[in-house]
Amino acid sequence: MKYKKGLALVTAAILGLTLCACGGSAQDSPAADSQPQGGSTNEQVSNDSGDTETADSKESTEEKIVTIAYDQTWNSLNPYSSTGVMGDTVCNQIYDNLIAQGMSGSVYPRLAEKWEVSDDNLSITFHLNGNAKWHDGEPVTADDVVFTCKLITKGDIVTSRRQLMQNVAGTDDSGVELSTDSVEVEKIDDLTVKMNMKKPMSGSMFLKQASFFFVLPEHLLKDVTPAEFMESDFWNNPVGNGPFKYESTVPGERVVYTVNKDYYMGEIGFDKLVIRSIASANLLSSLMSGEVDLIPGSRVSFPITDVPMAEAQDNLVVESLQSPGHVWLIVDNEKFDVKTRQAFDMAINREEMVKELVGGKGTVREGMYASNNLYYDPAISQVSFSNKYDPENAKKILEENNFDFSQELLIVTVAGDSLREQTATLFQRDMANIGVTVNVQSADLSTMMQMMRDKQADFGIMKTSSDGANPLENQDFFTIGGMYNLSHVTDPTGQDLFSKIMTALTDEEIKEYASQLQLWHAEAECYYFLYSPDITVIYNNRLSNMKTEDMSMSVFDYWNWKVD
Amino acid sequence: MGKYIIKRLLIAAVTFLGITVLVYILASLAPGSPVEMILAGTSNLTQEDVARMEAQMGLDQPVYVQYIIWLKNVLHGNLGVSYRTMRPVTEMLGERIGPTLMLTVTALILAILIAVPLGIVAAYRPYSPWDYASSVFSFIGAAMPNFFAAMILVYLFSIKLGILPASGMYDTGTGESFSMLLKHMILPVITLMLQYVGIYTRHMRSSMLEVLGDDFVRTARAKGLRERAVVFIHAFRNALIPLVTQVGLSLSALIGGAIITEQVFSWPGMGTLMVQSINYRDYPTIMGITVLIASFVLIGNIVIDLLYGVLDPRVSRK
Repeated sequence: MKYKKGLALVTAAILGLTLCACGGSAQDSPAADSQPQGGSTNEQVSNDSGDTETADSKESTEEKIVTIAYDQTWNSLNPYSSTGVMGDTVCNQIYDNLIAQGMSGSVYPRLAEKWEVSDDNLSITFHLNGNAKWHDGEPVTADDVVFTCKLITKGDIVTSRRQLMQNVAGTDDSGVELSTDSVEVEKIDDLTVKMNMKKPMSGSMFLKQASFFFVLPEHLLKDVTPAEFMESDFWNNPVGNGPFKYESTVPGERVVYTVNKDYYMGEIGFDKLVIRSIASANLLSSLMSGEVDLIPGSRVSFPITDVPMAEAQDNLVVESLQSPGHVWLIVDNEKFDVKTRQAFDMAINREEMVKELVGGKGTVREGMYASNNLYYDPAISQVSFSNKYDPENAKKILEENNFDFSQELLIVTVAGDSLREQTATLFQRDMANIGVTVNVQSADLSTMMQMMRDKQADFGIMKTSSDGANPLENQDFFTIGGMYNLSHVTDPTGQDLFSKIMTALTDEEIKEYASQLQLWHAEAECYYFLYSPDITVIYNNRLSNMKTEDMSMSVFDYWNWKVD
Repeated sequence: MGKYIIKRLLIAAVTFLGITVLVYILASLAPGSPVEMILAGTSNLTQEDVARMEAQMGLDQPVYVQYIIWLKNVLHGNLGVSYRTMRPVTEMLGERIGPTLMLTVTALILAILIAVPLGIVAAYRPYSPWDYASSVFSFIGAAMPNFFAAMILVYLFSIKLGILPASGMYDTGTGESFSMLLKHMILPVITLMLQYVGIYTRHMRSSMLEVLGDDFVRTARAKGLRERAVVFIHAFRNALIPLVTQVGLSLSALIGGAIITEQVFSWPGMGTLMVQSINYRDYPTIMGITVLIASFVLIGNIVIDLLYGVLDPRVSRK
């Protein structure tokens, strides 16, 4: 009897819960409601019965919500400790940079509405937008910029976001202040700030670093010591100056923002923004069901095999854009001499990689810069070994070079990254065609890089989301003794040319050195730049008027968007 | 009984130490440094920069020194600060444990509620259509990989029928409510449950089949007890022991084992936290998760052992 009663109670409870859940879903399923409208709109909750939701529903009947998805997660709402693409994007909604940089290299005003470089190229003056306000209503001023510069150059703060400060006078090579108040950033007036550079450099090179400089509120952070900065409670509920105000997070899954109605760049036509982290295998289903509105491009690993199905959906728009990013190979320069490296390169069938791995949606790489990169030099076509696919000749060169065909080489790739894994397999096949045995091993990214540093592997596969407009993007891979010199490059030519680019005073000079760099590398073959998979931006058709090409740079022109 | 519990707790404490030592050593042996991840993107980063930062963070100390410092802090209730998020590890674990337990405990309870009757029916009428049906169901459940089951469920219920959400804990940006949470739980819970149901049904069937042939069952029938009493009171209790063992083995999965399901359904639980922490070499969080799982499994196993005594008094007497 006792068992019967117990069983009946448990069964009733389970049934009750299940019915409650199913009852809700029949009325308010996001798929059923939002698919026709194509997104996350208020109707989803208008029929919910929960107390919280009843209140929410009334409010949300007029709300327009846009959901963006990434297949990664973020680590912090502090822009100076955030890492990765989603970290950038999550922080970019709350904080604006001084300027924003588009994929083509265009520089857009943000907190700085204009700027000028001094005649001697030793200082740059930023004029702040007078309408910019913090989310608590306080104006954004030059004091905030000076405060941020001085704060983030403190040695107690561990951050990788000091790129801008590395070029400012009064800091060391890593952007840390040389002494108290040594950093040469000066307030001219409430809306004007001047930064002195360590040495003359072109304004465009300086500005490229300014797109990673997030201005912080002095009035809210002035009492936080540098030692407390990273772990401050401020980051649990940050106050910024960007297009959206922080509302809430579901840890590791989503960040919810409400629109900043006073945004100085213009009025935004929707009420909430949600940035979600969704497994790449589930991105298509989330788009199709209307749970997600936008997959913003190259920094999201949207499975290439899912693209045709996305294209077939009535509610989705798929845009393929040529990407300056690339899949490339690390190759041990100390183990293989230039001749051997050139032979290996001639054996790689890049056309086949583009065809097989990205369904033809990509371009073969001739060298360090993609053909749509601002600094690409067409002359490279004549000299690049990437264009000379010739396995027979490659084998012949190896034989002439007394290559030991009995040895087994190792390529290490990143586990779980199907594109890299498949690239490794095709590379293995290409090498087998010339009689070279290559084994494939998978590891996580850290392990892969460490294996390359420790010379435990001969090749490694990298994938980079380039911004297309930065001639210094590969600099660290050529720095002798640097952490990212994964190919063990010993020839200082590359490092020297990058230094020249860094200190060039005009765009013409930069282009000239960038050209020399490409031509040198085409012969030196320190790394193999294989192919650029196209950027795929997919969005619900209720969104329009968006500048999709800059989304891969985490640059969103929300004030121009039309949201149905 | 008191002595037994104390003895088991002492063994558990030693096992706990062993587990933490092992995980700490293995984590520190993994190639790559957390500093490298923290400073990723820094221009001109050199080995010296990394070494300097490691010294600042105490990572240049011998592993045993780092472990002793960590253990001392743990004994004071301090699991440290995450290298990845710069937040206290206890706070992060607190946020993630709830969603994970919500999924796994629900799946476990539902699996038991489904598997036990299925197993009993299959054993009571062996080689009947019921038995074959339950065998087919349980084999499919046990053999189907989680991610595959998840994909099928998402395709059917989210895309084709459009009645259940494909991911997350709540609908987008619309606040949080219990009914919405339940709706989001359905697919991941079914995914997790399928495997448990498959395994438990097979255990329940074989154990029940064995018990139903025992002498005491024959005696109970000979005494003239009603068949229902023989099966549900006498046989059932004895047949539960192997199932309890199996449930005990599932305990570690309750906290850390839903990794794939959590990933596929973007469920913000311990599984996803663990993967992120390992990739980032976030040692404090990895160790925090280890402490939690180890404590849970060790205490859970003690509870399971005590349950044996309840189910079979001969175990207690021994």
